[in-house]
Amino acid sequence: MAFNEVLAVIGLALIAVSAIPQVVFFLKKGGEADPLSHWILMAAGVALFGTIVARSIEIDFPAVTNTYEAMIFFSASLCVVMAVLRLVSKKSTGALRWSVFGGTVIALALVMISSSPIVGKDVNPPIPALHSYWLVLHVTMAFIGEAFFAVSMVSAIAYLLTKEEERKKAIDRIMYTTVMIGYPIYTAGALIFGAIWAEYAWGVYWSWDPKETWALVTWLVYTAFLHSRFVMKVRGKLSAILSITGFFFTIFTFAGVNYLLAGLHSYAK
Amino acid sequence: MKAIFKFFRSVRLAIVLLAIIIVFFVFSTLVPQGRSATELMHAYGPALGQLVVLTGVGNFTSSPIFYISLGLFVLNLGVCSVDRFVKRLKSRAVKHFGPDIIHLSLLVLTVGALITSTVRREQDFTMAAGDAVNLPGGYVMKLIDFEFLKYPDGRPKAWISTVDVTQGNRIVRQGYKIEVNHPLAIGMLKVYQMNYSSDATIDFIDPAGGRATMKVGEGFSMGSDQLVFVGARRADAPAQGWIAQFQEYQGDKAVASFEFGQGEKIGQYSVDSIRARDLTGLRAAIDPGFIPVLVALALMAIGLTMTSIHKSKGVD
Repeated sequence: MAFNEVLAVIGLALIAVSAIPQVVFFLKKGGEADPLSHWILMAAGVALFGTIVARSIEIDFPAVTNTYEAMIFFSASLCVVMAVLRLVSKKSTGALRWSVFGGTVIALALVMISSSPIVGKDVNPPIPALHSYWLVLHVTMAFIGEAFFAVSMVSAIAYLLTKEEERKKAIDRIMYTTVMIGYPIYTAGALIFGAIWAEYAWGVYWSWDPKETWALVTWLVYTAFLHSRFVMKVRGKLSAILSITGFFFTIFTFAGVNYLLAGLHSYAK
Repeated sequence: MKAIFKFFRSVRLAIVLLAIIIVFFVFSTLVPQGRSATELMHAYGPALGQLVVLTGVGNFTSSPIFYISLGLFVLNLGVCSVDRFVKRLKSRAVKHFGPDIIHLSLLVLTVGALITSTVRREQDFTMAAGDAVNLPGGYVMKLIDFEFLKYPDGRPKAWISTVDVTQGNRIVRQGYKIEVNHPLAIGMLKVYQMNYSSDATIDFIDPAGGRATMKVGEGFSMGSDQLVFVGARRADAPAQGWIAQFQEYQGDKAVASFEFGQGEKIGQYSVDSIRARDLTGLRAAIDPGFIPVLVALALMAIGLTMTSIHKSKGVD
């Protein structure tokens, strides 16, 4: 087994291990979050980023150019985002534990899917169109933004399942804050750097390729989410539904478009 | 006038327009673009086909719904932006203009996109080493060399077109290497490396000693199948020259690939020689719309940063 694959397995194991204290504290009364899982998630994120670094050294270029690397990077970003949120959030760790648990399940699922035979793991240097640092910025920042959207989505589900008003308020706050942080990062990555890369690679900054259109639609959904809060002062259920819808579009943009709709981004399979 | 202003100032209108745009955009990715009405009716049946044709979702960037919904959205955005900006100026509260800058960026982006869609010019062409082409602005570009670099596994690593550009007697660029993601830029004019192809010809000798020539795209009949000459590649050993590539078709479907070198037989014909030359595929484009788009993207980044900093201070 190659070194980068060993790191991915360590990352997968650590994510699974981080779920144990989370489940134990769910079973305890008191509603407090465990003191350990975010450190384990941080270690998992480091191991998964290590996978990317090892592959990058092998091909002498940042390894974020195929589905396997994208899924590993997405999962690593999600682990680090959850760990940092837990570290900086002193008041609402009780509410955040639901979001972190949901995020842990997503991070685990991403690494498990990436390790399945349907996803190629060959370490290949990029074809000419992908040999660009604008592409690296485009991909990495889009996924970091999407990691925040993932936490928002699981918070939205937790919101819809929670009955206690105080807890609902705290979860609503997490749902909003994560979109508020993820939105500018996603905008910069998916749209701004994506457009600049396309201009350099193909001489056209926007071509209404299915992936571009779905990325724009995803951005519009989160734009609606933020405007509904800022201007219409919408909170709670509608925000939760928009957050879940936004993440559905995010996942379809990432995975669905690659396999179901042909276009310029078809090499992302 | 006030009623119209009030109508376009509405955030509810923005949300409704966003919903229409989202639904329309999503459907546009599910329907093949650029097909004729007959093809769409054939593919989707009379009822659904008629709906696709009427809504224009099969040619969505030139459909009335696309222009009307985006036009109304831009109008709505413009009115909201002015209204918000004026209110902010009059307000005694802490002034933060992050959202105004984001809105302004979207308006500038629209201007850039309009310029691109009306003024942008592009031309795709292929060249072999030694060829010259006239470019807009009185420039002449000559291809000095073309390299196709491959990784050990055969995947493409780089296409490099080395060119000289002159304008009259003046040398504008000498030995400039155009690569994918590294275009040649002379003012507004940019030349992009797009792809690679080869221009090939095979000379055959038939059993009676007669000669025949075949070009790319031509082929032989093999019963109900067709064996089509699709191109040539350099042999692994340079001394062996070129290898001719053929594809066998059953109707429209490619069922097998074959390669033939010099001296080999294809049925009763013997390959006498294979002549080919590498062609670089380039695109020349002039897009004055990209400058406002770049300004808009920079404004958007600034606006988002300012808004994020403001919101991080706890204002929801």
